[in-house]
Amino acid sequence: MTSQIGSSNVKKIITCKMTTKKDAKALIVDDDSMAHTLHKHLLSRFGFKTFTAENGKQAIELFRSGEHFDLITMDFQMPVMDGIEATKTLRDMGVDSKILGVSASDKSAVMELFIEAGVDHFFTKPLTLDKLARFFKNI
Amino acid sequence: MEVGQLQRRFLEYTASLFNQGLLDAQFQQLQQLQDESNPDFVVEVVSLFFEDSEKLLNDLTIAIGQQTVDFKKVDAYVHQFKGSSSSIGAQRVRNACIAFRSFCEEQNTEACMRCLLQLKQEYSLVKDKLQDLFRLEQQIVEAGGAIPMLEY
Repeated sequence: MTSQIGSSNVKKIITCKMTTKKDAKALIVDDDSMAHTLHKHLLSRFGFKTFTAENGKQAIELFRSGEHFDLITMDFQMPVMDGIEATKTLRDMGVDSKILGVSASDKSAVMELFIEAGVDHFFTKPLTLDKLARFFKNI
Repeated sequence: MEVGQLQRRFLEYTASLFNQGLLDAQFQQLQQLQDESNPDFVVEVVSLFFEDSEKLLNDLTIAIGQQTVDFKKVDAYVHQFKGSSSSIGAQRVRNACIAFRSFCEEQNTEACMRCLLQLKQEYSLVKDKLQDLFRLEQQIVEAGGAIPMLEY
């Protein structure tokens, strides 16, 4: 364990293939305000402009209104419409955004449901810089 | 107290929170996201955690106190608490939630009551410690110093 006295964090944008084009947009779909705050900061480190939706239905309405997002982080359990149903509906609509399923549950059944629904990857919460870096490296 | 001494005290205190298992690596992730454009990020996220937690503990107290306990509802609250505590790295709170959920699955009311008490204790402890940590941070900033980062 070491320490850095007097260090300060300067914002560093992490290079990412998805955000080499300008105005890459990410949609955070979660009913939890903490997740919004955390995921916003994480994704902005990779150069994304971030937007939020409180549930799957709101996410779908955004796409139906003509919005498009390069990346979606989709929570599992949400009121009104959950992440599984929202993912299936978006894929049926022909949405080709990268979708990351996220859940606080580490049960494999949740991951399987998300994969069947059409996500590109699944992460257990909390999302971290390392997890996202690994995902972006492999796409 | 001079800045260097405050910074050392801050690092020692932070290290003690990790050594006691109160915080885990996720807290360091939050610290890494704090920067000049978001200087209060950690306090902001932890404050949200405090708000959510207090509401959840209140909801849990009501739910467990019912004549007929709705274990599905209790489990949903604990699941939420587990998620939010994981997000800030409150390891012992998260572990208390994991134990709690196993008793929800067994529909064991007495054990759930004990778990709720444990959860309240763990939450109260981490809340006090984090508030002390933020007070130390404030002292460093007021003394003109930068907040040091602990590295594992």
